[in-house]
Amino acid sequence: MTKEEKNPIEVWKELGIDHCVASFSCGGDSMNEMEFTYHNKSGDEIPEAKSELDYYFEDEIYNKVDFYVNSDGHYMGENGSVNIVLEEDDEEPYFSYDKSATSEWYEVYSTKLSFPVSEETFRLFLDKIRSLSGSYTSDYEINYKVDCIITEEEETLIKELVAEVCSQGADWDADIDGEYSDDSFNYELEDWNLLAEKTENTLYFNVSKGYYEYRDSD
Amino acid sequence: MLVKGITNTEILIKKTLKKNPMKIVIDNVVFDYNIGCRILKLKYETSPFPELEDIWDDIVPMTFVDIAIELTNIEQRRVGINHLGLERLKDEVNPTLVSSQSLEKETMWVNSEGELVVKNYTDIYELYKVDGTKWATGVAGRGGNLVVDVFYVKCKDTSTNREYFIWIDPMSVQRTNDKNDSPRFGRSLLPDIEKHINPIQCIAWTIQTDIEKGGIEYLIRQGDCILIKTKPKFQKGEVRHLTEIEYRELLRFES
Repeated sequence: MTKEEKNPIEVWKELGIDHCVASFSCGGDSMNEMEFTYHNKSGDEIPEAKSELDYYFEDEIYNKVDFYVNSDGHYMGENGSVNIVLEEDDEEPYFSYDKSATSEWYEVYSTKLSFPVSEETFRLFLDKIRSLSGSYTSDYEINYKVDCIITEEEETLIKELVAEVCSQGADWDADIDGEYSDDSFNYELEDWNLLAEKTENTLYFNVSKGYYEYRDSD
Repeated sequence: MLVKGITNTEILIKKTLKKNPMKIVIDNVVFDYNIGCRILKLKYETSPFPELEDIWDDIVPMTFVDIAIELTNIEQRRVGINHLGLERLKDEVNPTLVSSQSLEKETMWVNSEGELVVKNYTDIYELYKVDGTKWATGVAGRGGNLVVDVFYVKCKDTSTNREYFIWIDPMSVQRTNDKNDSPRFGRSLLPDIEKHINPIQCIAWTIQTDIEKGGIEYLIRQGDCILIKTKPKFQKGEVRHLTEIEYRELLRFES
């Protein structure tokens, strides 16, 4: 008799299995490899059970348990384990599945930082620059309001301000328990004309950072 | 060369640049000072900046050939061509419209109320030829140098209404779309290469991918950013140009 022809419940009993732990991780629109380990009542592993029962649970677990594999930029994936036990209280014995997992989420938090600047820098930004944005790992991008000449001194003023924004932005951390994603630091100049509260000779930047947060999964 | 035959002005500009290297922003695109001055001369009748008033009359505006050769950045070239204008362009190089094709397209846009609406429009592609003698470029080979004509495809960005001129390699376009997959043509095809290519083939040729033929489910285009949705069992290979058939049949959405 091949293993496929045997009743998995009978095999389970024959091998003296108390419970099975299926360790998994998923995300990025796919399941990663799932690992099954079988244990007796004392918690000792029963290695020979793998060759007898893995084939069955590798299919059946997807009929009994929902795994959320589809990442969308906000939800990233989940990892954990499924505890499988044989329920014999009812007339027909059956396997029950209890999933315990942690899901990973990518959240972006932002703050507004103010930067007192010289009159010259202030006028440069108000007169010529519509927007300035960038990230810690890449160059900045500027949209200009008008045709204009940009002198080397003005470029230096812009670079100095960007360096200051990057420096203060790097120091800022959102007040949460998440794990900071290294390449997620972004900054964007606030439109001075649209600000409700503002001070002369001060420029304001929206600074944002992404964090991975972990929550109990369904 | 910024100015023609005005040594004193050249010296003045060199001194100014040495002391204070500047850049010029035109239509939100940054140019080096020299080229920026020459583009400004195309855009404005009189000096837009007090700093340029002294030298304004001596600035030589860019020509079509200057723009094509000196401006390798496509955004700079767009601004240059835009301010050169079609009339000046025609006067200078007298491009010949080889052929024109249009595609009726349907795409989804978000209107000012934030609603998703279907937009139907006609996309026109035009293939132009410029007489090779305007460029004085040659292909070395037996019998001396052969001056080759150059070709560009004119197209419009549907979301911004901007017109773009993209140089194409006609021999490569022909090879990409050759149904018989015949061996590469030699110089014998050069004199009438335009009879073997069309504007849609040319615009398709401007898109490159390493997904092998038959592996693309559909294409999405946002400006010059192309997204490729692959079929489940696609194969990767050498980087290649898209064919006319792929462009016509696989392009689903554009903005």
